[in-house]
Amino acid sequence: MTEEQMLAGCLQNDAASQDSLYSRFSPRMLGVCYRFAKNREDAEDMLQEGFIKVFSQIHQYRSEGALEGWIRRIMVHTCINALKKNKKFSDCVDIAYAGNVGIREESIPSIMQAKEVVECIRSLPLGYRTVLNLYAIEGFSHKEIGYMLDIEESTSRSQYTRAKSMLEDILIKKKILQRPKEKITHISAAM
Amino acid sequence: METKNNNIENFEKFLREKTDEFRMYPSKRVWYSIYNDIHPGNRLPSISMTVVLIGFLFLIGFLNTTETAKENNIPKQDIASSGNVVVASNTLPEKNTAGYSTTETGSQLSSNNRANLVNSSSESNPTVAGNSSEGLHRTTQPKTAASGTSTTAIAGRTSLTITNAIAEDATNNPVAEITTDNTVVINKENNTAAFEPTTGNPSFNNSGAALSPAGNDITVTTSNFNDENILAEKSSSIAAVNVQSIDLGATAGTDIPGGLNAEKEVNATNTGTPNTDKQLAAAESVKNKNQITWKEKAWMDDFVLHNKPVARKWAGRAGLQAYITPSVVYRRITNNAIDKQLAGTNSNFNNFNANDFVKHKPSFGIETGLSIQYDISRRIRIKAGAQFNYTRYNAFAYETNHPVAATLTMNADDNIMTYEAFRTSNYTNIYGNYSTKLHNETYQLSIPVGADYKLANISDNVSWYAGATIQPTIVLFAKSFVLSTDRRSYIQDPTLLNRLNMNAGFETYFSFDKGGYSLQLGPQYRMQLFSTNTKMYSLEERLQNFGVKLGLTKKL
Repeated sequence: MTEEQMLAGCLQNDAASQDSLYSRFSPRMLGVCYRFAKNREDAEDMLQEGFIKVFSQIHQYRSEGALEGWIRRIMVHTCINALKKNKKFSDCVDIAYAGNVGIREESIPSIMQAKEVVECIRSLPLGYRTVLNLYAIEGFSHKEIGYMLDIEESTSRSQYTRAKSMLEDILIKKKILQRPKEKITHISAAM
Repeated sequence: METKNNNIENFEKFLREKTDEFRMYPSKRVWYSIYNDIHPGNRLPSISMTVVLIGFLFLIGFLNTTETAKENNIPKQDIASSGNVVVASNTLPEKNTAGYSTTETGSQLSSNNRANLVNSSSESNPTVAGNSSEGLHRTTQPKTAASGTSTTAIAGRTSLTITNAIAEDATNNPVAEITTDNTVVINKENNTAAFEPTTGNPSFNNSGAALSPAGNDITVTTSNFNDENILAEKSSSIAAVNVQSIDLGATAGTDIPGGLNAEKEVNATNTGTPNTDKQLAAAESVKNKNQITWKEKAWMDDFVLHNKPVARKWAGRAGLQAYITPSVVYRRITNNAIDKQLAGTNSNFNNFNANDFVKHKPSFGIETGLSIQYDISRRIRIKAGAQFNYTRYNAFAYETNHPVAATLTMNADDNIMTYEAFRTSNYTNIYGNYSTKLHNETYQLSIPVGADYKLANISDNVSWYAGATIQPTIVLFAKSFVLSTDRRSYIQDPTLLNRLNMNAGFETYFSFDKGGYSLQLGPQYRMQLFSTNTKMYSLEERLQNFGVKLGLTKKL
């Protein structure tokens, strides 16, 4: 079934088309939700809510961009709304809190590549990883992130800087990334 | 600085690439929930099942009530206590029955429940039956338990055993298959290059993924397990598979060492190359179909297996609720006399509305209890618990200094006749020494079982629900006054009380979520489905409560 056929079917509330669309995009979208969620179950709840929005608002899709991108935007917003329901989340994205967070070595997952990277992202504190997900992976600007999370744009920048630094450290410890050369040079020069 | 910026860009690009490669497969529950949400009209099966369940509960309640009514049908206490039980000649059948002495003949008394009644040949001079207390004793035959069939349950993922794996290809040669359930069925003869036979107990090989069918003793090592095309090709022609169980060789609570190690499999994906043209074609075919390979699928499944959320499955879905419902209790009285014409000298009263003769006022009641709730979907929540109920309504009457005679219109258990039973009472309805207020009250324990449906999300934290429960109820204690045949007296007779009953509750409420708690507030209507008194008494009374339910739920 082509994407056009799926869209046409979904507009007519055809179950087979909806099933087809869901089957095609749900694995990747669950991966998106999983990066934001606390666990797999929460991710599935987000996915479910997101797809209900997709099917109920499919008539608003204008075919101007990729369907996957449109669905992905809905998923991200659904994830953010779900996170914002938790009061602790607003504390997590607060810059004052962000200055004191640390990461435990044993909490870093020991698995491979794509999954390993995702798990490393998920091992970040909630506020850090949300901003990092939105900025580095989903491509939102800090201004948009500030609006979405009800925080200052500067807070978003600061959160991202710290998140990126922490994630780099983790990925280097896991030997997924290599330490940048200029850093090594800098350390050598200092010695 | 430029180098630094490039690094940042590379870092973000690296993250995007890696996260784009990441996929997870949702459980079927997600699609079912989505489907139910977007196609609400197709929920008939679940609604039907709910109706059947509620019907079943009704049936149980009804049968229990009938049983109680029959057991209470013997008016032996009437005879023994007052000695005034008289069977009017025009109300009782005229037939010689054991213990029923009369010279006249008749044909309508068929039950031996009347064995303790003595008929009088004169209507104006009733004969007292004395202490004849021989009653009807119903015995229940022990039910024979049906012989069950033994079933096999797989307890968790950590203890599975493969035996008798059979797979055949188109030429009836046994081959191999990897199913979506992490089940590996392998034939060692056709895959000797890929699979290495071992002996001994089925277990996981620490050096790699190994599944050992007990019967065939085959171990799959990681190094031999990296050619997706062999298995892809073989699995495409699987004709039949019979897997009884799988042993992953790990004890409960421990991780599986090296079992289908994901890292090694991913490496295998990167390094695995087709060996033959046929295998190459098979690989190409798979790619053309734009489908994930079995290895990717296995990786995903393995990921799910090893990354199950620590949280319990029901966490966030279950809740414990404490609630209280202050209510106003009303009652509905209807005439239930089987034979209104043959109810003795006061039979005319059976043709009038009993409410016209009494002055009753609603009073307060209360329901309080605990319930366990579980969200089976985004909108539907089931619940069950234990509930204490107190009901009361008031009857305005007069109290006399001396007992007065009164009769109660009773239904015979043959469902054909009515008769009158004599009582005495100190409470009258029309005159007396001084006025008083009688409290008809019951103390009940019930087990509400039901479901709530989320009608709407008002806001992020506020939802609107409607719910219903069915409540099998046992009456622990009651103080109930019944009306005499002539509606002039109130008589207290505990033997007429229906100890088992059934109630239904309907409610709608707003749920306010805050942290791990939610507060529930809304109106509730509770109705009693069966009469307060047994079917033997000719007036049927059903209580109805209108209240406001306040509940506090803690998410578990």
